[in-house]
Amino acid sequence: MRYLPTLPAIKSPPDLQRLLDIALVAALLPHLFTLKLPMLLYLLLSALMLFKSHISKMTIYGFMLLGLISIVLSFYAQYNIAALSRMLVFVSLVVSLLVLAVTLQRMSRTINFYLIFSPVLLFILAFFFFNTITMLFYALSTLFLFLLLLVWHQMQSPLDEALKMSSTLFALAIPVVVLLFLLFPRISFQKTTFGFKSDEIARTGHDGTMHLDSKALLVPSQRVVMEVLFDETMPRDDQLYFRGSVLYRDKVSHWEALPAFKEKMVNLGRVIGAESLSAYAVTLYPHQRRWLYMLDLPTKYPKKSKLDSNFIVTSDVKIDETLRYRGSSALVYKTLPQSSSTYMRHALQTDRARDPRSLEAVEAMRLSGLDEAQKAKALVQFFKAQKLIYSLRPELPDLGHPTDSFLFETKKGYCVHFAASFANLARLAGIPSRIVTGYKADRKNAIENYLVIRESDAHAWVELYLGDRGWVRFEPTALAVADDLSAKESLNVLINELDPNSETTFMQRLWHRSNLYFMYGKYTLEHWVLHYSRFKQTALFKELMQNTMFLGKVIGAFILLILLSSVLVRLLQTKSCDDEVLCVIRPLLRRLKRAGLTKTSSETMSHFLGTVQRAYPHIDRLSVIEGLYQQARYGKASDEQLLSSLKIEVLYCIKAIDKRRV
Amino acid sequence: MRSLRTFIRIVSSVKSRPNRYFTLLVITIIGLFMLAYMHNYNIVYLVMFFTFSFAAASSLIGRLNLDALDARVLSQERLFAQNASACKVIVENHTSRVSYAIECTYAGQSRGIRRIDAYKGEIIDFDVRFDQRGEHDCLPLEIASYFPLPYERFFTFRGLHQKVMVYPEPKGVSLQEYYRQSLTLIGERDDFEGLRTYQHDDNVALIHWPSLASGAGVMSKQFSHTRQDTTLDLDFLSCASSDEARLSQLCLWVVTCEREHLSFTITMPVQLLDSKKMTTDAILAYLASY
Repeated sequence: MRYLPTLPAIKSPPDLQRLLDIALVAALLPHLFTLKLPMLLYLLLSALMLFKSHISKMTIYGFMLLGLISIVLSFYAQYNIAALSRMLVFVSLVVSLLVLAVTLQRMSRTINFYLIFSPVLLFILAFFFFNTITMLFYALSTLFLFLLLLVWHQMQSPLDEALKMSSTLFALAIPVVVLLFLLFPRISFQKTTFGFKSDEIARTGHDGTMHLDSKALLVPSQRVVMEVLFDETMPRDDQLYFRGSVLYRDKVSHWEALPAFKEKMVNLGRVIGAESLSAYAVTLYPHQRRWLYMLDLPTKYPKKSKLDSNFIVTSDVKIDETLRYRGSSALVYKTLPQSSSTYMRHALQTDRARDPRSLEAVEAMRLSGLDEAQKAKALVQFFKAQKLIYSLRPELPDLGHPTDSFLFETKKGYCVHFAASFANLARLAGIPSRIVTGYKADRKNAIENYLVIRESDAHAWVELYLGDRGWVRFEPTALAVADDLSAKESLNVLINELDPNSETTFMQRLWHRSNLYFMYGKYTLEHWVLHYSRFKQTALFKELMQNTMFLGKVIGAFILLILLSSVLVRLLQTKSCDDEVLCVIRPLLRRLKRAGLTKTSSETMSHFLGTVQRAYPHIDRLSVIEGLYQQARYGKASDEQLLSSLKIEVLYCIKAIDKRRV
Repeated sequence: MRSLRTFIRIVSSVKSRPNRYFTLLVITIIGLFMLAYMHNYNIVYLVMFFTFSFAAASSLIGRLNLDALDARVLSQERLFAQNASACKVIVENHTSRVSYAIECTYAGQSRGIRRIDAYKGEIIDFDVRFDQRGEHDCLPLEIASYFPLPYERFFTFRGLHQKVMVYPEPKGVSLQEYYRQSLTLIGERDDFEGLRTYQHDDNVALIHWPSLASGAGVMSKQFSHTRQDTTLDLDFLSCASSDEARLSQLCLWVVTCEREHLSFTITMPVQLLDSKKMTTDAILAYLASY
């Protein structure tokens, strides 16, 4: 690292062979992750061999044999034509052969046209394997490196000058690239993974069941489950419920969904009276299940997925790689009255002998003759009256009578305990209930329309069936009267980092916010760069044609980009001042040049100023400038005051020339 | 508008010619295009657009690199037909930019200049050769460069803005030989007027050896005219058989006379050329343009 600051001062580029080596190393970098072990070992040996001053022909033949053996070992599993028809296997084979050819050619110490082209070829082949943000940054930096090496080789100058020149080329290219990227016609709708399967094995905090026993031990993870970008304004905090699964069956230790065969018997869910529709794009990271999390309640869902009667959207295939989809949901809704007796039967099923105290508390409510809505209201009041505490480290409830245990004994729990008790209590009171698990997002994890949902946002809430109103969402966790902060600290997690009441430090809040902005930047880059498609292009063109204001903004932004690029080029081309005296007088020389008076390199300053005096007889300070110039140039020591006087005189003369023009 | 005019002027004055690396560039762009277009692969699109834009930006910078340069002849030796002469050319950079990787070519000779700093110049030497006598225009100097990217060669021609006089090829009988053949013209060392006593500062070559041998003492030969005082009379018509041969012969003698500090006159058909009244260059120019 200590040599880094001295790098720009390198006077001239290394020879072509060294420059090629640098380019080859850069181009080979992504292939190190795809080449098989034998090829990697061969590459390492070849690299070591290049340090030798002389390599005999026999050694080169030996390495050719070694390379061929490495290729055979690397592809031993694909000894058939069918395997080679798979693009990635074929490309891998091409890369291996290219690596062999390059190393052999390099060992011969002869630079030919093909060796010069090989870094470009290796660089292009890497695109078959990766399509990530990292690859984007790698591609751009390698491109810049190639440019720098080429320019440096041509210039044969110090590195800092080559850096400036390649940066100038880069700055000039940016507006063109932006314009081409946005407007270059795209015809392909499909993105390919070239047969690559994701090796990202992951699962989310939501798994379709809800445990109350020891398996329910909560370990909130900050791993991102999905990212959502809303088309318009983000819904309110109390509307950010993403449905995962709907649980009907109370198995004491856990709640579970109805078996799939029962779901097939009923009609698909339908929303009636949908209002406040919200459209959004979701980037869902692999969780190895089929759930596509959508906001309550989904009205439009992606292709190759289905919506069931519980408004759960599931994909036809397992989500084993990052999936991007669009959807829309009704934030205010009313569901179609439940027609299936199967669901209603399960939604009322409870063991009345299991929780006697709870049964006693709601028995009067059940027999009161109140309608479901009134009963639900009373239930909420009862729940609130129990003064329950939200805790991430609660005692395990007694599974012999879990509702009684939570409501009257431990009184501490988190969403699963609240939801299970509330749902059971509702059933005891005669109200059909079910538990919905999924994610409850928090607007504190949002920037503008962008929202991040993490595993720690996994949540359970309850839906009660209130006759004509259909299924209505209830949030029993919100009925807790206090938070058990000590439990939060013991878990060393920050759930409500930005809560003004929580005791988080400024650094923690800053870290959270910075992380969020980083994710937003990454998402925006992915959304607009990696996943820019014909759909987005068509939408952009449509908007440009219809919205004059937007068109103006885009044109304005592009002009601004050109200006910025020009300023950058100008800055890069500005030469640092080697000659102090000349630099002070240079503005005047430039001005005079514009006026048609150019000082030739062989002309003395005195002679030139004489010519200027004849052209501008009204400027009476030229002799002063000449005197100061001669003193500064040929005096014993350079004087700051002298230079500043010269600067003032130069400015005066420039003004005088300008005035004459006016 | 002014910038546009400047741009058009630069584009029209500095030309470019693609080379084999240009083919490579095209193949790379096509390859990237196919990869990107088939799969809507945005990273590849970006790389393709960047490659294209670098090439376009390089085209602009390469032209600016050469547009700033001018060339003029700094000094040159006398030019004689069929003979090579050294010529110094200065290539100047009149802008605040540095020009890089310059290659100057004049009459098939190439000279490389690594860089020319802002407002500075570099001097290069060329051998100049003309086949025929007379007034000629200097050939334009080709200034070329592969900077900044080597896929195309930028080049421009700079007229050296100079008319040069090429003198006849100096050839024929040497002046000494001619003297020997024409003894009556200037005499020999023994054609002295008389003898005198050797003086201390007399040239040893003037000693009259027969006198010394006969015991008459050391005597010096006395001449009525010394060599320096001799004005050679050269005649155009009698010196050779054809005009071109005559001009070449006279050119050779003029150059020899100049070297030997001899005065001369040349009798031309319509004019007498006197070295005391005309400079050697003027006489040579007369011969060149005859």
